[in-house]
Amino acid sequence: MKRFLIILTLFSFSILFFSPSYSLANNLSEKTEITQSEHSSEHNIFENPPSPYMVIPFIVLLLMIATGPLFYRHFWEHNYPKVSITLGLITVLYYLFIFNDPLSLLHTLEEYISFIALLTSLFVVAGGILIRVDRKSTPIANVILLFIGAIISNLIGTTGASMLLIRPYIRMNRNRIKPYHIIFFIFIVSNIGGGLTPIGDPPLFLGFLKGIEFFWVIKHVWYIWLLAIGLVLAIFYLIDLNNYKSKAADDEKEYTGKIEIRGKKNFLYLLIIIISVFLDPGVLSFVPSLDPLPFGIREIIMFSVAFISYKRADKEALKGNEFDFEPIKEVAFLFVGIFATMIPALQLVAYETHTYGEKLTADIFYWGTGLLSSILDNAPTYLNFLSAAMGKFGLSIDNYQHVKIFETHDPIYLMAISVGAVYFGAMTYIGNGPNFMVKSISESSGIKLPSFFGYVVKYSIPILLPVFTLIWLLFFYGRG
Amino acid sequence: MSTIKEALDKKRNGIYYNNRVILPFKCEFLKIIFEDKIITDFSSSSSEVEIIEHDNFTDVYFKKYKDIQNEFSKYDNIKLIVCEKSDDIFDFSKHIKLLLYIENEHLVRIELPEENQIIID
Repeated sequence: MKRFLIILTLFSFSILFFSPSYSLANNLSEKTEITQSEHSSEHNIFENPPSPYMVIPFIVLLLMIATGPLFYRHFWEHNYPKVSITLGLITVLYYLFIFNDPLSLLHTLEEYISFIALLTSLFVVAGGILIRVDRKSTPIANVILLFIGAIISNLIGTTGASMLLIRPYIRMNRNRIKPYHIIFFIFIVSNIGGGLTPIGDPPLFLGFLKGIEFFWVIKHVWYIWLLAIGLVLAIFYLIDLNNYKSKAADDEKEYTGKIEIRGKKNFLYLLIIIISVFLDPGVLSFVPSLDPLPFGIREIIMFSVAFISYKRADKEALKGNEFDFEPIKEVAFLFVGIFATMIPALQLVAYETHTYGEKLTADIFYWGTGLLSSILDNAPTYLNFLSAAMGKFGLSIDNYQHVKIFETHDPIYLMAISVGAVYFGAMTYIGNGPNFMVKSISESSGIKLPSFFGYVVKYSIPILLPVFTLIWLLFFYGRG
Repeated sequence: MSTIKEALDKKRNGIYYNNRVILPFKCEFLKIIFEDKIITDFSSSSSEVEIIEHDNFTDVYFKKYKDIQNEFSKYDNIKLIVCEKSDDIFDFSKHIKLLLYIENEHLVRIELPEENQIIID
């Protein structure tokens, strides 16, 4: 089966590169021209949008991602790669042979490789670090750990921070752990925490790949982040204090207060990955471009670091973390389909919003991005709403210069979309990649967590929704 | 050979064939953690597992899988919380946590968890 999937993937990529309608090398100069020219591809999209029916594979895939693990888990676990690649292939074939727009496929392939290189490298390197915290689990110690996790998630991603900290967090709380401990970890470390940098959360990284400045998010939303994290941590503290008072007497163990770390050399690998994020010819002019290849120096470094760190990893750290490639394999396969099938969705959103963009306000972008990010993956949702917001001003998300104009023109829209996509990812288990990973690690340690609906009804709606409503009232209500 | 202690002392391995795991001891099962599934229903109507006790060993059938080898990496494991037949099942200090590693050639390596490895009772 694996061989079949690899062949299928290579086949679809080879179609992209060696299609009779598109020769990559011959069209390199044309590509540059199209990207930079005023008469660029977005004009073609506005005049000649893709067929609306081509959104069907995207919708089908997102619905299956949302419902598969819940309602037909066994089928989904064994067939998601086939489903994702098959749906993606429908879009690839349409763009190659019917819509004749291979350039959009090429852009998407480049973004996919960048995206998966970052996630894979952070996942593998963080998986080789084992942290043991031998401290008593007090509410204040938990608050400090979660706050540190929120900051770290901006440096190594919500996926990396979740991988790094969930086990030490469970170990520290093993004598009195309850489902809410894990759920607040998902809220803070796996989602809201990563809302400051493009490394933090996949939607923001996709925005960075589209051309949004690296420090744009932290400059514009740091105070919203601080308020959200502060409020959620305060609620956690009150709940945890109650639990602590009833259980503290049961914990007779003596603690050394030590923090032990195995696999320290992996921090050096993490540093290399973070530095390599900036190694983009668009960001630093001295970085050589590897055109016509669909990846650059950055991606080569990231994959190399992932490979070397795994080969040279501390085996005890891997064993302690029960390291497994399955989560990243799942992300890689699902996002092949998501990236491919969302091309027509993005283009149609830009086309439609160009027509009635006047009616779209920051409120709509905040709640729209947020609510859809809760039930769909937040990365494609972010891109769809970014495309819509840009379409409102006649700008195209596929044009680097247009993105630059958009981020400075009126930042309220980009702020609403960024906050909505990242924060609302915490509303359900399926809102963001690390949520399911943390759930899975916790359950494989023996902690019974609430069902999909239990999570939403008992935790997200009573805790997160009031916080997000307050953020809307303070920062986005009636603006834009 | 029928107690957990004897099996651990003599470093006995279990074996598996497809979805059948054969453990070299008899015990009372309290919890099985198979990937992220927490199994606590060991009644005859359980849809997840079926346990058959023999004189010197125990069969555990994972009903939802054809071959459990496909489900685990080399660092991944099945976790058990069990109790010796002769011990008081109501005494939490008598509960034993075990890790089962699925190896090649039908071998199931049985280990006690190290301090780094977490199993919540």
